[in-house]
Amino acid sequence: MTPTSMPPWRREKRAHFPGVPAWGLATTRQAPERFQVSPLAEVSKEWAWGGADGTGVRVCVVDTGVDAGHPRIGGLERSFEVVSGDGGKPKIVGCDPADPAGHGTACAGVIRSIAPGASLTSLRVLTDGKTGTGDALMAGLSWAIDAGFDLINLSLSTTRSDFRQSLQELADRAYFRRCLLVAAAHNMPVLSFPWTFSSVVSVASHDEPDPMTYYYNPAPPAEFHARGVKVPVAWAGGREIRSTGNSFAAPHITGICALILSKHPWLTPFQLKTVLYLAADNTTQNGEAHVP
Amino acid sequence: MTGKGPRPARRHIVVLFIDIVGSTELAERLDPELLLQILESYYAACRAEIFIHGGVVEKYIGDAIMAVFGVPASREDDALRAVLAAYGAMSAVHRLSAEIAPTHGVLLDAHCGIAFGEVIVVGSSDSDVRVIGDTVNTASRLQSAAGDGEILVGDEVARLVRHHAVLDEVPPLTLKGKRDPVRAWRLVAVEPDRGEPGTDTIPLIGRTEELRQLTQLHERVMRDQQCGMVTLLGVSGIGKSRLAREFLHNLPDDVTVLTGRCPSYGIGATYRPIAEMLQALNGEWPAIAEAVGPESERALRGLAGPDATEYGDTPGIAEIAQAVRSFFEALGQRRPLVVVLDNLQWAEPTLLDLIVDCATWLADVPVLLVCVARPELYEIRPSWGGGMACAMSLELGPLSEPHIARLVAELCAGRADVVAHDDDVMYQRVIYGSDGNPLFAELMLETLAEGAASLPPTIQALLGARLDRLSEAERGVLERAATIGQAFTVDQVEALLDADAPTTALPLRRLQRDRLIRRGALPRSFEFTQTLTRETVYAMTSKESRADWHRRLADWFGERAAGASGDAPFPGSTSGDVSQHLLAACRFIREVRPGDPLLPELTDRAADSLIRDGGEALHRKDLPAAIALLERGREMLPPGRDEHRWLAVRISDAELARGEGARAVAALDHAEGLLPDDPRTLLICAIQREILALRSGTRGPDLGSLRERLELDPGDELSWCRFHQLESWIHIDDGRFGAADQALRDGLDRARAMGDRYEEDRLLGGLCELVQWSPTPVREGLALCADLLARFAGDRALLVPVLVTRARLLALSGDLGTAREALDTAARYADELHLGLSAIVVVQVRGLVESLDGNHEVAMGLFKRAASALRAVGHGAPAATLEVYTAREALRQGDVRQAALALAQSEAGPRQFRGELAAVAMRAAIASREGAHPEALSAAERAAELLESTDDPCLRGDVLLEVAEVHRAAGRDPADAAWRARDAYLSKGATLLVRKVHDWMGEPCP
Repeated sequence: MTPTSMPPWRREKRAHFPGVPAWGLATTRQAPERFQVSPLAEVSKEWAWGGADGTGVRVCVVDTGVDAGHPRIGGLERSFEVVSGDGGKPKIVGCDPADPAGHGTACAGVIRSIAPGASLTSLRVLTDGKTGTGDALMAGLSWAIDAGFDLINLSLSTTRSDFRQSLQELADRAYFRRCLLVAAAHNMPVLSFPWTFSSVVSVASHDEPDPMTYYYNPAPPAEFHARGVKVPVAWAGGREIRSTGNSFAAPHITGICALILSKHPWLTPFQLKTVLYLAADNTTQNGEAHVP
Repeated sequence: MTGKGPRPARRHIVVLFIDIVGSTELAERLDPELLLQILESYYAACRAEIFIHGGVVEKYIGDAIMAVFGVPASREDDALRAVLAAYGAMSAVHRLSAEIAPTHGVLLDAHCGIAFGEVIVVGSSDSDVRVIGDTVNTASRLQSAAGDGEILVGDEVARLVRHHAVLDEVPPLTLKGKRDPVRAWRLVAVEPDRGEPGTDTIPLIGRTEELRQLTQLHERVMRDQQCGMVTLLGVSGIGKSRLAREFLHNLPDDVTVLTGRCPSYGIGATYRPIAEMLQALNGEWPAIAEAVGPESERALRGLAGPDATEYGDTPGIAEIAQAVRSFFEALGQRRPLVVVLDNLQWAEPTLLDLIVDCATWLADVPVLLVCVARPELYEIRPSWGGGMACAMSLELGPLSEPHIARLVAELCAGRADVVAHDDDVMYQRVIYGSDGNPLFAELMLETLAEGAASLPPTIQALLGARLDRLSEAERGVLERAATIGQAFTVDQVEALLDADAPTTALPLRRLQRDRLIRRGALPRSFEFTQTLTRETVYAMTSKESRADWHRRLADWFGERAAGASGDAPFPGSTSGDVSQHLLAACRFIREVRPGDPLLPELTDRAADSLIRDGGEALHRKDLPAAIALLERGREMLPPGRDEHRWLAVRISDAELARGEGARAVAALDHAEGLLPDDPRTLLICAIQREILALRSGTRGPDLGSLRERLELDPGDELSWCRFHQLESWIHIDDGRFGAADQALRDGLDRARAMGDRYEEDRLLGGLCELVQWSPTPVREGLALCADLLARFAGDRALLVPVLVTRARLLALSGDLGTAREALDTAARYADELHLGLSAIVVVQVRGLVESLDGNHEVAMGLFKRAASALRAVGHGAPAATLEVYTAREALRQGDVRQAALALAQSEAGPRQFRGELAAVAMRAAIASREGAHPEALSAAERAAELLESTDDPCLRGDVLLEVAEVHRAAGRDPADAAWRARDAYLSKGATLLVRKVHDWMGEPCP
């Protein structure tokens, strides 16, 4: 890609301007670059995603892999996995679009059901036991952020504080690169990462059956509640099961974000979260403010 | 066996191969001199890494290095050290490559293979070791299969280092010369400090308040330099030990921590927890030994040493209590001390007493006693912890639901860095089903994670199910360990394995990894992580096996005690072990193989051993333990055996000493029931019943008929021995000390004929007390004291009465200085050992000595003190006697009024014969001083009459001299009474008093 076709937030850092402190821009010499915005009108669900199907939005499902052949998936853009490279350093390589565990397929299926037009890519960082190493997650997430995805679904977390610092750095990096991380809250009352970071969209469950109903939680760290109880999901071996967990709430929000972004492609992650907030079922009702 | 010889041995070791990559190419491209230089650096770097990680380079094969870990001695972290060495060597090669790359234009790399398994090791020194076996081939093939810069490890190594290393499984390797594909793992990273097995990787959850209280109490103990005690109470698995560990873990580095556990079989193992503490202390011992003093040192050695001490050398409970206090004090004065006593619900009563005693008497020593117990503790000791300053108890209840949920999350996190967030059904089941019990939750989670469909309903059943999933080797080791006890050593486990069984190293490692066991304080020792695990494993082990292993353990402990060397100060306690294992073996064999031909012999051994241990406990005055052991010995001993008579007497004695008169009688009933037709049994029981009656104050035994029955069986030594004791007590009550003395000596002859040290000690103790009053001359009495001082040297509690007798006899002979020294020693002992009653007796005899020396005012004060102390503890009769003595001392100072007052005081309550007699004499003396001579004379006459019934020479002398004084004051001739007094003193050898009579009569001493 040429620099001009690449939006500013995904370009290499520009050179330092003499006479201006680091990180600054000498606007007298170089006019600030023009870029497109998605203006915010009065935000309603209709404004946010009415008529959208996710087309043009690239989503990465960082999970156990995704079974591309599952009827609920209907194909993937690409499929990757993290393996051990030279000197034991993890590296990302292409792989078969398979998922013996079923968890990643379930998440991808939820996204697909909401945003059928979105492009889905699978990155396998968890094993078939639905667990994985911190190193694999770090390497995989780092790669996905750099690979220019608009949305990354993370239905996983780690409680190991050793990873906190580097995960936080990755989350900030994603935020500035307009790559929104949608992270599931832990299923148990523990603090883990990255869902507790403010730069990500964190999702826990509500127990209603409507896939498009979601609520803003005025008392985070879990900022949104989406469908996560007895969700019909795609599973390994082409099956479908009903399962419960914040794992399945997160892809509902990922799907809704894909819809919003396909209609308003220039929203920053900050704005996207604002739109999510304004269009939530407990903040607007047919455009009218909801009084709790 | 020295282990130094070249004998080949089968061993489990770790083999490491490392080889340089592409050496042929290097040889082509580099000048040979340069190549040599590079290779030398490479070898040096690899050798250094192998060496610092405790490996031995076995040989060089081409450019490859083969190293072994676990030679000459295997260690539990051989695999980890091998992996660290490989990792280090690899890094060194890469550094070397980076150094030479710019100048020489070559890149250096290596590859590595590590395998674990059984081999034959020939030779054991570092320079000469050969290892033969398939493991060597496996390691070599793994190395060949490894890519550039890769370290491949075999399946076993992967399991062993799992907690410390990040590993990636590679597709199974088809290795040259191997039929089946070999599972292999690529080492990604290794962190030796990550998740040490045995340390707590999961944070303490939901016990913040308890931990805060514990910490605060400890801070108070340190700040105020005072003793504190805390009891942690809770059911199995609720997290008592975990809380204790967290508390200990957070303690400042300078705090000494001692830990001891009560074994579940408890009986007789009164001091086992203390022995454990001592064992963990070997290195610091010399300094502590010096601080506690020789008596305590001896007592402590006795606790933790092998059971090879002669019977009778065992110190008593007072001596031990003092030793333990000194031990804690010595440590506490060096550094703050925390003493943890685990499983206190199984403690013997005597140990509970000891703990309370420590908490009370170490008031100004910074020591915190942490007692960990199940709530059953309150069943055996309802008053536990009550009435003690600086004591508290913390009851651990179930964890709240959010806490259990957090625990479950932490447990899951402990299994993997990153987890998916689905499938919460399983976690919910654990959270709601575990009753707030962390152990239950952990077990449930583990069971579910392994794919179990249903969950056993109780924690025990769950634990059982988990144990069922162990491999045969692991289960075998665990069952043997459970038979040994909560703590066990590798040697003990191996003693229970057949000679050709595989080694225990691997199963032990796996059990550690699975957190079923953890390392103990001593090398090669382990302990069960959960007490409940041991109980469950033990209960699930077949009785057949348990019977066999208990029998073998009894032999093992027996041999060890026999072959103990004096090298280590605390080689480990065996006291009680032989008995416990024999007892358990017999019980199981009786259940599963009642007709086993070995059973009778084994039962005999068990009974012997239990009775011997019970005898020792009795000797130590550890009465509850003695009774428990003897009763079990009785249970083992077949009915109809003669030993039941001895047992009946001893149990009865112990119960009586404990103040349990009814039980003392019941022990006799029991013996009569077991030997209903045996005349000897009936006779000994009859005699013992009379003894019990006499001791409880009921008079009137019919000695005549007993003697008639005895005369039919002159060889019944035990009955005769006891009969003489009974006789002696009756004589004493009647004031016939000569006869009593003789009866005890007759009894002694019988005891010696039986070789019964217990009876002998009892009789000697009685005799020693008696020689103060009996006609036995001072010289003989002193000789007896000298004998007994040597005989009882190990127990100051037994020495105090001997010293008191010795002081009194010395004073009678006129050696007042030495008498006072003996009393000083006795007083010190009584004080150090907290022997309240003995201390009073010392004061009383000090009074006698001062009185003999003419210091009547001092003597009066001492008698008064002793009298009120005796009254305070409910000994009214002897107190009354001392009050009469107070009156006498007052009178000797000329204070008639005070004498009369004291005499009146003595009239409250019952009086001893001695007291009564002295009181009559005192009345005569007071009347005489007041000029009421007729009254005085009549009282004196009455005293003289009473005197005829006793042969106590000093009592006779004292009263006769009073009579003489009354006579002289009344103008009569005192000579008859005075000379009779002198003769009485003379017969005793009381030279000081003989002189006194002569002085009074105005005649020089002959």
